[in-house]
Amino acid sequence: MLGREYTRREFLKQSAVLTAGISLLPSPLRAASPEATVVRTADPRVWRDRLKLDPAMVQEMLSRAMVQFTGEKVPKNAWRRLFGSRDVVGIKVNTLAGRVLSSNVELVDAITQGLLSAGVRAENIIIWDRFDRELRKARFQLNRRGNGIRCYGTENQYSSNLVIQGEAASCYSQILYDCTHLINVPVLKHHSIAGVSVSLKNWFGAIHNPNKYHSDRCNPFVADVSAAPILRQKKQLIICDALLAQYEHGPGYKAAYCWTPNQILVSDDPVALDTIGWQMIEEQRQQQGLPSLKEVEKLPDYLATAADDRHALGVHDMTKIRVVDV
Amino acid sequence: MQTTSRRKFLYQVACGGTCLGLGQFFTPWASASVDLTDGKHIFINKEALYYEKLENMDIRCKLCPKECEIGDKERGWCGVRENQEGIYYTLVYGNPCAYNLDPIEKKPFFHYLPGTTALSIATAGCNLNCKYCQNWQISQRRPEQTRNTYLPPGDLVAAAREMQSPSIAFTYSEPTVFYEYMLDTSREARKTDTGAVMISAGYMQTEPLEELCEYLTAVKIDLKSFRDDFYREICSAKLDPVLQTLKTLKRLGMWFEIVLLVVPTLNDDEAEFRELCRWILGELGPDVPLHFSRFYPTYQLKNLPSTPIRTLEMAYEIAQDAGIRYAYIGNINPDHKANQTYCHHCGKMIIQRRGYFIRRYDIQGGKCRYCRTPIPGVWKLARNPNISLHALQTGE
Repeated sequence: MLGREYTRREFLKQSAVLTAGISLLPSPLRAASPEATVVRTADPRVWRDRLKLDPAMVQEMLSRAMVQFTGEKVPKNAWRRLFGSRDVVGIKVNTLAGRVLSSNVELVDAITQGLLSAGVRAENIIIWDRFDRELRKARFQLNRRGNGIRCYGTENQYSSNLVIQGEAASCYSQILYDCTHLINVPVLKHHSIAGVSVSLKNWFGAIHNPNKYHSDRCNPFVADVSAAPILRQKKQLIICDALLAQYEHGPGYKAAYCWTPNQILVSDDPVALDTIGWQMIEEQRQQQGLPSLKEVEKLPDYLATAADDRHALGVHDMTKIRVVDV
Repeated sequence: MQTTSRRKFLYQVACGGTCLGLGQFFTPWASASVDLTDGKHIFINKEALYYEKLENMDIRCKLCPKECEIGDKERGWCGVRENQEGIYYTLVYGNPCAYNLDPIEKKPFFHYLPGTTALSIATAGCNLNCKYCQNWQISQRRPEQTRNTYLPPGDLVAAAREMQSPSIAFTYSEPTVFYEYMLDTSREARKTDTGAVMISAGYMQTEPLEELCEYLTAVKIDLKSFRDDFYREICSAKLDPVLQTLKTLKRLGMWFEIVLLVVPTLNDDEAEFRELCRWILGELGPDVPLHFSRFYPTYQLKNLPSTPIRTLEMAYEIAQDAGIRYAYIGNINPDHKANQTYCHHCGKMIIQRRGYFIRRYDIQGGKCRYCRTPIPGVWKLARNPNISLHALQTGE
C-alpha cells in the first residue's frame, strides 16, 4: 500500500482530512455530481420606478437567495460559509452594454456587503471588468489604489503567460491571478452570435483576445476559455443579474427588446445557471412571438460543450438541474 | 493622451525604436487608450471604410473576407474595429504600437530597392490568428493592450523623409486591419515620392486592395500554405481569398514577392511545394520571387522543431526545377547560396547578400551587368530615380 500499515485511528484521521479537502475543492471539480442547484429569487417591487432599483429590496432578495443556496439560517452565516477573512475576492461584472444593461451597482453593493459581513477585508474585494471607461459608464466608482473596496478595469494588465486550453489560446487578466475566490455577476441577455450571454460567456471579458473566439457561435471557445486552470482552480460563485434582461439583439442595450424578470439567480454551477437563463430567454422570445434560438440557428451549443466530459464545467441536462424558487 | 513630437519619434527610431526583432514591443513614453465615447482619451475617431450598415445598428465589415457581422458595442475579429451605435470605427488610425528603421531585405524584399531602408510600422491587431505568429504580442492584442503613439499619416511620411528612408513599410502585424491609416499614409507618401510597401497575409477583399494599390509601390504576401485546411486549422482563414489577392496584384501590375514559412509536418510536403510552384508559374509567371522561410518554434507551436535546412533546400530546388526564376531561402545562414540573386539568363550572381546587407550589386539600369538581361523588380522609384542602392551606398 503506502509502505506501512495504518492503525484504525490513523485511517479515520486521514479520511477526515481527505473529506474536508474535498469539500473545499473548486466548484467545477464537483460537476461530476448528478445534480445542480440554481436558486432563483424574484420580486417585482425591486424596481422603485422605471429603471431605478430599490437597494434594500435588492439586498433582501440576495440574502434570501444566499440563505437558500447555502442552507444556512441567516445571511451572515451564508456568506461566512463561502468566504473568510483571508480571501481575496474578484467580482467580475459585465459592463459592456452601458448604464442600463450592465451588472447593477445595487446588486454588486449587496454582494460586497455580504462579503464584508463574512469578514473579507474591503481592500481584498475587487470589482472588475475589461475597461475603466465601461465600469464608469455602468455607474461604478473607480478605486484602483485607495482604501476600501477596489474597482477597476483590467485595461492592459494581462498575464504574459499564454494559456492554451482546447481551441483557445489567451492571456488572462492579472486580476484573476491575484484572487482566491471569484464571484461572477453576469447579466442575462441575448447574444447575436453566441445565442445567449450569461456566466460562461462573461469570462470572455477576462481574456486579452475575445474577438478571436466568436466564430461558430463561440463554440467550443466559451467552454475552452472557462475551463482554463486559472478559472477552474478558484472557488466560484455565480450571482446572475436578471433584474433587467434582454431577449433579442444583444449584447448591446436595445430598450425595445428588454424585459424585467425581476430575478437574481445564484449557483455554483455555471452551466446549470446558464441553461436556466437560456430557457428564460427562450420563454420570453416565445411570448414576444419570436422564433426560438434553434429556429434562427443561434442555439448556444457551447453549453453542451461545457458540460461534456472533456470540460466538465457543470450540468446541462435540464432533468438534473434543480431550480429552487424562493 | 500622450503624443510625441516628430523629433522625439525620430530619436526613438534612431535608438532602435520598438523593433520586434529586438524584443521591445512598446514605446517607452506613450501610453494611451482609445475611447470613442466619453471624450477623455479621444485621439482616434475615424470611421472605417468598407462596411455596410444592417438593421438594429449591426454592421457587416467588407474589408476582409471574414465579413464579420458586428453588433453594437462589439468588435470585429481583428479586435481593432468597433461598432458604436451602427457606425464602424477604426481604433488604430495614426496609432502605431511598433516601429523601426529596417533594411528592406528584412521584410523580405529582394527585388525592391535593395540595400535601402524602410521606416516600418505596425498597429495592434490581425485578421488572422496563425498559431506560429512571431509577433503575436501585438498582432493578437487589441489597441488598449499595446502602448501606442500618435503619428498621423503626414507626420509619418515626414519622419521617413527626415530619416532619408525611401520607403515606409506597413508590417509586423497585419496592415489590412489598419487599412485607413495605411491608405492615407500611402497617399501622403506618393505626394513626396516616398515608397509605401505592404507586408501582408493578403487576406483582404478585392475592392479595398485595388484602391490601396493605386498608392503602394510594392507588396509582400505571406502565403501561409497551399492547402485550405492549413489555412483553416492553423491560421483561422481560407486559402482562396489569398490566391485571389495574388492574382489581383498581378493584374494590377504591382510588384510583389511571396514568402512561405515552412512549418515542419504542417506545410512541408514535397507535393505541396510542387503544386504551389505550378500554380505560381501558371497564374503569376516565373518572375515573382518566392522566399521559403525557416520556422522557429513560438506562440502556440512551441512543440515543433525548427525547419530542417534540408527541407528548405528541397523546396528551393523544387521551385528552381519548376521554373521559378528567383527562389530564396530565408532565416538561415546569411551566406547561404539561396540568399543570393542570380541572373535568370546567364546564371551569374548579381546581388550578393550577407543576411540583410548587400555586399555586391551587379544590376545596372535594372539589367544584369554581365548579360544585360532585364531583371524583374523595382530598382528605382519611378518618380524618384535618385533613390536606389547605388545612390545610397556608393553615391553613384
